[in-house]
Amino acid sequence: MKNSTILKNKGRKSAGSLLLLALVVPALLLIFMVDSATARTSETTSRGHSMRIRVHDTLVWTDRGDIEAEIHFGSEVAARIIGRYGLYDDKDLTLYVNLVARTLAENSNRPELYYTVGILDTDIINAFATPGGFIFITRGAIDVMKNEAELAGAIAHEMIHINQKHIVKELKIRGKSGGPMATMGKLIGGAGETFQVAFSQAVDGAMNVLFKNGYQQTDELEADTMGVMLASASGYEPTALVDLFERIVASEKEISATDRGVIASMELAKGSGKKPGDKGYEKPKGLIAGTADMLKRGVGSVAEGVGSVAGAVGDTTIVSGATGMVKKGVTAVGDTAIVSGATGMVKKGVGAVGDTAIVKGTTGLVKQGVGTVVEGVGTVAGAVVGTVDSTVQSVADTALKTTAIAKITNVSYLKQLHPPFNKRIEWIENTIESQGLAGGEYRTEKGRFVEYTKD
Amino acid sequence: MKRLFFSLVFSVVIIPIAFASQNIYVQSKSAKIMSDPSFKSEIAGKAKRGDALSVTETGKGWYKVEFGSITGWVNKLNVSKTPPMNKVSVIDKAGESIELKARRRSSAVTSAAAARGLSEKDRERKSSEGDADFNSLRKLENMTRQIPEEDVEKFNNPEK
Repeated sequence: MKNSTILKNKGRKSAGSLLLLALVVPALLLIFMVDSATARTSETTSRGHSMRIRVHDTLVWTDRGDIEAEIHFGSEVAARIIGRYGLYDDKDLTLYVNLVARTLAENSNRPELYYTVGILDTDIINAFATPGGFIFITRGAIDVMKNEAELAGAIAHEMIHINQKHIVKELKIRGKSGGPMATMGKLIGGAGETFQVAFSQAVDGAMNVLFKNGYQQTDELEADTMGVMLASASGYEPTALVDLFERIVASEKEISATDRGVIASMELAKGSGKKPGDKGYEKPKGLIAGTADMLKRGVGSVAEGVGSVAGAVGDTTIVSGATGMVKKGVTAVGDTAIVSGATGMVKKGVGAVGDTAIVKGTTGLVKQGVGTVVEGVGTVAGAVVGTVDSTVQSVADTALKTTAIAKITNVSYLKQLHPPFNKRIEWIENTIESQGLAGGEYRTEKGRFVEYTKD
Repeated sequence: MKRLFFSLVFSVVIIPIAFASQNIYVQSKSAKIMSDPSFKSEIAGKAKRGDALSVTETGKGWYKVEFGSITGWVNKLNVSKTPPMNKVSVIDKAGESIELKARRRSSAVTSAAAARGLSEKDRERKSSEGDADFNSLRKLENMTRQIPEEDVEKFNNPEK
């Protein structure tokens, strides 16, 4: 009797264990299968390409709050970008670029986002994207484009940076449904000053990705790959981005082949002839980056125009990347001054700098150039250095020169931040071939690009 | 007994595993299902936003899927592992103060929704310092949101 009860109990236990086994094992195996499926995806793609195509491999946010947080974060960064350059005040053109973006968005895999595109009022050639759907393209970039497909290619590229959460990943921000919380978790955890500081630091981090360190190379190439696919899925000629990149590369070569010194002299000669305080004097615009870059290239002639500049220049290579320059180790006082200038520039924004920058870098020379700089825009901080001719006029002229070469400068800037254009062109061409994008029925225009952009 | 055990294991463990597949969801307005993993191949069918596709194979930026009677490849550009969500906007909530947010999320270390950024006052200060321009951003957002869907449709299909 006793034995029989034990046996029965044993039988029940066995059945219970079996049931448990039957439920747990499949669950574990299913989890394993899903995981390994994801792993296989990465593995397969990495065999085909040198880059992993990572589509929603880590950050699939399903929580509405996570997405709201992403948008809030992105809007803070976006406001800073606008604060730096300002928006180009052309409603028709702005609506037009947004129509292009909306066309692309229909093929995007993030339908929950509103994409907002702004045009930045600057000559430099660049485009930016911040988390949550904010895209910016510069007036200078639109100027070098030939058709709508090129514009669509650039916007699609930025859209992929958003969709793939490249900045969010770079800063290791995780949301409620996206795994362990890091940076954003800290922000969410507390209110008040601590919260604000942490949040500001995260925003600073995003600005660093956009303006200083750049995206990871794999992210940049992923944006190229998927951007081209997105543009073509929306009916735009996929080779347009290649055309745009080739034009930028060509313009760089064209400039390289020119006597930079002559250019420098000519630009200097274009000076307004008016000094700060004169009626009709216009505050020069431009980037210190432009100055630095020009100086690098135009040493010979610049030396004649503003001797001090040439002296300051030497082998200066910074393009708004003051830090980079410092790292390289600059020996000349003049160079250091420029570097400092660039730093100040970065901190305070275009045109606001000058004084601080110079004070940092060129103590002796500041005495001669300070007044000029304050009036003549920080832009010319580099030129001020040395200021052999310390008149206001020479500096103001130099500032104008800087404006004139802003586009050239930016090419170098882009080259610093991205994989080289030649590599990207090759990459995009491979994508077009391998994904079977070539030869489709595409358009270069849906709207009226020329009408909106080339008045 | 042994037979019972094996049939139980087979029916409860093996069968579900054999038929287990992962669903993905179309996020774009529509998605072409191609006969091969290439945009150049034949179009096997189409799916629309929200449709669930059953994945049977993955590779090189493409998923092999089954969708009803259609079998083919869909590009990862158009899909995600979760169903599509409605539009998320934070414009209306932008004026919310940080304190209010903190209170509202009293239990919400778990919710990223609480990360609202700076308060309106801080934004104004930052704007006045020239560090950021929230007003222009908001104007831009408001302007672009007012583009009607019909205009996008017309722009996208100028021939119609």
